[in-house]
Amino acid sequence: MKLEIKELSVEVDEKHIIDRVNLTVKEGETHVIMGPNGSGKSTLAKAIMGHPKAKITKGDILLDGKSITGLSADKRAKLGLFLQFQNPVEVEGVGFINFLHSAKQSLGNNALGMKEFMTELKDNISSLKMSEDFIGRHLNQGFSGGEMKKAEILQMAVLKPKIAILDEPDSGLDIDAVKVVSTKINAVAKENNMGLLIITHYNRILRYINADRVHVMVGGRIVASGGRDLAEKLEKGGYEPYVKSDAK
Amino acid sequence: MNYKEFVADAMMNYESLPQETNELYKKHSIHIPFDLRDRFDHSSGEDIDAIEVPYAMRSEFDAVIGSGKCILNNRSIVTVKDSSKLGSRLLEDAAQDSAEDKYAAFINAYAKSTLFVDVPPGMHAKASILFAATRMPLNARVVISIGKDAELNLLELHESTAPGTVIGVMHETILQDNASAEINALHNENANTTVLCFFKDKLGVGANLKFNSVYNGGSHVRARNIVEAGAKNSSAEVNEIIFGSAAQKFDIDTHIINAASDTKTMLRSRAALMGTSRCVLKGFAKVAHGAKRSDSCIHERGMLLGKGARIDSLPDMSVDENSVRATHSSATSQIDSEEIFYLMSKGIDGGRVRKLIVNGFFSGCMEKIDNAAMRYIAMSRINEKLETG
Repeated sequence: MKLEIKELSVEVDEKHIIDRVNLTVKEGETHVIMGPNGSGKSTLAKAIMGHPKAKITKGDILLDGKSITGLSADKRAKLGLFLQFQNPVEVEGVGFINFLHSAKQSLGNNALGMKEFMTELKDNISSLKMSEDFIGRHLNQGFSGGEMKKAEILQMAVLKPKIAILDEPDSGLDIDAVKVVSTKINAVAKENNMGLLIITHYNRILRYINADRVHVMVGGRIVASGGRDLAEKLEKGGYEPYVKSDAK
Repeated sequence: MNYKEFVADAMMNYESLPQETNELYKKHSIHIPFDLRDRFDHSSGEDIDAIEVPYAMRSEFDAVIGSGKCILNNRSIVTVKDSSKLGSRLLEDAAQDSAEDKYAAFINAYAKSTLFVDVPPGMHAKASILFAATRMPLNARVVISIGKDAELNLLELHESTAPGTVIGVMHETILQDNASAEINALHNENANTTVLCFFKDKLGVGANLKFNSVYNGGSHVRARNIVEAGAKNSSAEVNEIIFGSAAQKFDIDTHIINAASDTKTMLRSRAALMGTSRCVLKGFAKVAHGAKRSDSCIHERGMLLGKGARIDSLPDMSVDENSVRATHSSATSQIDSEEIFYLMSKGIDGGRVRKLIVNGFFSGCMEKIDNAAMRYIAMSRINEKLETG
């Protein structure tokens, strides 16, 4: 599978956020987008997934050469896209298991029995070092920051998308948790030959995840792309040179 | 006084009920577009054979009530009598005395048949009743009497198939000392039915009442509930679930009253509306003088699933005692578009997402219902309605 973003411009509430972004993520590849706060990284993620407020004003988003911009979020997910939310919403009264089982069935696993599903779920919970009582809770209700991140990665592990967009999978996690989450992301991606588009502020997750390409996003545009060394350069010099250059 | 005059007199009394004279609530009352006097004045009861209820369904309930007629499958605790042959004071320790109580007078005039659910002291019982209005208005009075230390879990299913009919049920619930009861009423009448519900209780010392109502059916629904924890250490909890679609209208007025010391009352209301339906939630809490160390709480919440839907949530309180805990809250909002996007982004289609969100919204109330059959039937009916719009 190949995700292509071509000359994409996006506005939210009539405010121009994304400006002519081009990016291609193929299955098995890992791309990382880094950038300062407010640069449009999360808006890009939401636009790819079809958030109704992210209005595409120019350009296109394609999956295997076919435009998906007219599709609702659930249809994009059915084609193999997955979005890990930076701040997942709490959904009152909806059990985590009920939600995830519904999602799994919706993605073409209608015959999946609850017993088989639970076995898979518990294996993934164990590898993410989560407590089993987690599965009896309501979706994202009362979750700590770390639990929310792990819950999103757990969903990815169970739903097995072809291309996963991970919006700050490392923020709010302690050092040990970053390692656990990163190890899980690597394992799931490798097992499913998944393409990854990771949005992050920090270089630390890249100690555990091998990035094929690193992109710098400033002011809604991708202003630089390179290999892993670009992330290290950012760690030392920060985003300021790119912000200044973009301002000019 | 003939029956017609009696009904007219009762109607006047009804209109002077405290719930009907509250100026704030009066402003928000939903008009029921028919003449109650005319509807109540039906002279012949429906023949039992005319109750269009499948035989399999009949046998699953302890009692099946038609318009003035009844099938009793379990006569150990459920009996039925003609209201016109009963005196105004039904039980030795009656909850109402129609000579003094206008509400009771209205009940007496309205219902032609009275169903008794009588649980002897110490007994633990379960019962189920189907109210089926098929051709004519169905008016029933239900007297629930639970003896000392006894328990009852009652499931009522209210159905109608006739066009333009009325289903009205009056509850009088009497719990002796340390008795407990869960009364569950699921209203699933058709879209042309006017639904009238009344509830009033009397609790003994240490008695514990839970009254759960799901209002899913009917074109116009009017509920008037007075739930009083009137004896020391008694408690009363009311859970209301309202699910409306199309142009359904709900006028739900529930008073919870702490009338003695160390009492607890709680009213939880959840309303979700589609289409152009409308709901007025009038939760009123009264803590009487002398009700020391009592606890009273109203929690009303609304969710709008359609742009034309409207919920007026009007929690109110009157507290005449100092050493009490009394709280109320209310909130109504549109269904959250971020929740919808979140769930859809994981692959769940729009219809299923709405179902998950609505089920989740009701779960805060639904999980308080102990009767598993009530929970199952209620959620099934709500989900059927969600699917059909």
